[in-house]
Amino acid sequence: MTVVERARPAMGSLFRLRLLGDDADHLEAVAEAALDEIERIERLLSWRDARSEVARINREATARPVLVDFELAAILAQCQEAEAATDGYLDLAAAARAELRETGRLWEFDAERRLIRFTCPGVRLDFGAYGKGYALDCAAAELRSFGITQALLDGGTSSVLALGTDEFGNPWPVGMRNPFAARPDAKTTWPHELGQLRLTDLALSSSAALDAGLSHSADHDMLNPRTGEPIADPSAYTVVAADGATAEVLSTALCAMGSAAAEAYTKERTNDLLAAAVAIVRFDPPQDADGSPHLTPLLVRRPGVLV
Amino acid sequence: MNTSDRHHAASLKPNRRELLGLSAAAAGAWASTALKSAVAADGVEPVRTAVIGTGGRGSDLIRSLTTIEGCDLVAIADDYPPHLEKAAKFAGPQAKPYSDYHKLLNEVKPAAVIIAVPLYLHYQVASDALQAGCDVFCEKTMCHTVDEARKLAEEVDSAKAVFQVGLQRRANPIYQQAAAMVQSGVLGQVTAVKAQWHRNNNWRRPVPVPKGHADWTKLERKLNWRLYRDYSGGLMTELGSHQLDVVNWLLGDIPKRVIASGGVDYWRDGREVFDNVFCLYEYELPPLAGPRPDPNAAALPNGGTSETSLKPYTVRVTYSSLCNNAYEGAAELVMGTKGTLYLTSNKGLFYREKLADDVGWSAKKTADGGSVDASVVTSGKTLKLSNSPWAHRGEPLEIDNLLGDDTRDELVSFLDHVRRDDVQTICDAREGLRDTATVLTANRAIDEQTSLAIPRV
Repeated sequence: MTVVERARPAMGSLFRLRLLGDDADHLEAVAEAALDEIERIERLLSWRDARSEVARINREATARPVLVDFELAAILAQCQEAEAATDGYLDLAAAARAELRETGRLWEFDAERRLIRFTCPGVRLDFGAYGKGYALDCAAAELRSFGITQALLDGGTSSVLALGTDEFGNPWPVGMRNPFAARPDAKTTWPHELGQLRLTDLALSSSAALDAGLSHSADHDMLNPRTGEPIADPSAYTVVAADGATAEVLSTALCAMGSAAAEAYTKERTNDLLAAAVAIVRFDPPQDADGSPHLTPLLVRRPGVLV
Repeated sequence: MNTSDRHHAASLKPNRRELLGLSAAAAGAWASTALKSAVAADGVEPVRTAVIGTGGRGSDLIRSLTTIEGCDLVAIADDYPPHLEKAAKFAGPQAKPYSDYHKLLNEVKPAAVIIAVPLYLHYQVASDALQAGCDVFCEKTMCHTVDEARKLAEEVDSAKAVFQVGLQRRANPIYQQAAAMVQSGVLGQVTAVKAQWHRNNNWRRPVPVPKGHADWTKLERKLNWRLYRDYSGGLMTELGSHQLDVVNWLLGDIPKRVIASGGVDYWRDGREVFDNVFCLYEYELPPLAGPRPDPNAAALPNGGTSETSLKPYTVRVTYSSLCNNAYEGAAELVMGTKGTLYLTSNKGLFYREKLADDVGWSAKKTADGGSVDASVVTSGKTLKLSNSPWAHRGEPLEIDNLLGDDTRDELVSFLDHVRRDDVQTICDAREGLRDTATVLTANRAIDEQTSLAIPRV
């Protein structure tokens, strides 16, 4: 068994691959191809890169409808469905100012003609709640097409995809760090890890709105897209799903919903997104001064995934 | 499109010499406007376009073509089924897939053909497409041999076809700005260029069957055609062609000769093309083709008379490409007597040279503007320069690419020329021929371990 590890910066974080197989030359060539694929998705979706398709939309779609390629058309259609399925908590235009929201829908997409347009100036699409998961899905497809059956991929550690098993033939073990350890009020007595996952042919995504409710924080890391306000209660979610894009969308939307709504949504709703979810874990801050952060499984569909 | 139209368009082609200096800057500005007008062209008859060669680069081009309003992508062709199948998803259901490009040309009769096959096939496919009456966009490098490139340029001329080589820096606003700056004399006299494309990987594409499989060798050569001499010119044709085209464009000529060295010294894995190359090109520029002489410039040290200043002067250009160290990345450094341009596809920087009259003695003013009658004002602490090793360069003027993707823009420009039947594309067959001669002669100089004249093409 040969192990090849490669990494490349993309989408503002580091993407890492760990490939298992017999032929090191082959693994190296495949790893480069998979990283190229991730870079391709960055060039498609990153609004920060003036050369990307999304940057072109952001520049031009206020003035007139913009023709997008077939892949981006499929992504936009998928995100529109996800937006409906999450009651608007997935919002590609979440960066738009709150007062714009009152004007109604900010972007319209004609799937038949592949044309997107913005309904008013000041709109910007941001695929941050989708891109890393989709990039991992595309990279995994590239790996499979070259016969790779065992691999672990991650983007900035918050998005992970596991193919097959690890070098011991077991599902890939993935630790879940205590997200609240990064907060200024963190205690040294808090545990570093709150649990573990065991993944085979599954993807996960973690999202967090940790500064919510802390008065010191002037720059909140996530807004409620329906109100444009900072998220009220601190929360963090890890979602395991059949594919990376679903995990990404769900973890972001749940975070934006707030605890009570997210719990109700997970337990009571049925839709394609939730159907693709395998496990949903919420991380809760300590209840009182002596308490410690802990995790609450909101959904576990496959035994053995959460350990 | 009929032949007489083509002839008319061809006859309007201005002499290359007229495009130097400020008119070149204007031409650049016009090209940008043309890009916009094509994109905005509602109700314009779309150009029926086909793509031949649907591997990595072909798929990039396909994705861009499907975002251009004036393009109707009607067919794609590749003889390697996995590439054709993958590209079909990007191309959309309206694009008919073909395994044989001859059949595509016969059945679909596209107006424009985009060619992204391996280098050794460029001439044949382009020639067949011209025969079929198509306008042609051919990926760089234009041809695998200088003879092929010469033949192809002649065929383009006699067909009066619109032809563009995929050297996309020609469509990049940073390089357009750089060309205008060089040609209008902002850099002073350009005396040297240093360009390189350094990477750190083995440049290998994976093969979908394991080693030992009956098809492995065949597939390996097919997918890794860049590494074998029968199909590719290696680093010089795949990377160097872009950057030496920039140099030819900025200097307004091709080099006179080249000295070069290279080898397979690190990736000894059976590849036939060099994994590192180092070239020294000499350009001989007549003064009129170079930057304008500065009427305020001091006399040359040798007491330069008008006679000596009319002699051609030599500009030396170094070029290297590596596969085992990525520190310097891909960039061109254009060095002039008044300033330096550092160029990449998404960022340009211009640094002024510190000139002799910058010492600050001649202006008898204090920092706060008051006049003094002393030659130098002293006492107190030493006025220190910054400790930064970069301080002598000063703050650069930054040139950003805010407009978009040069691959898409070069295609917009090509289709716009096809629609207007304008043969003067941003990189026509003659430019492609010059570029081909420039890069392939370096490969030959390495093999023959001698300095070689670049064929006049």
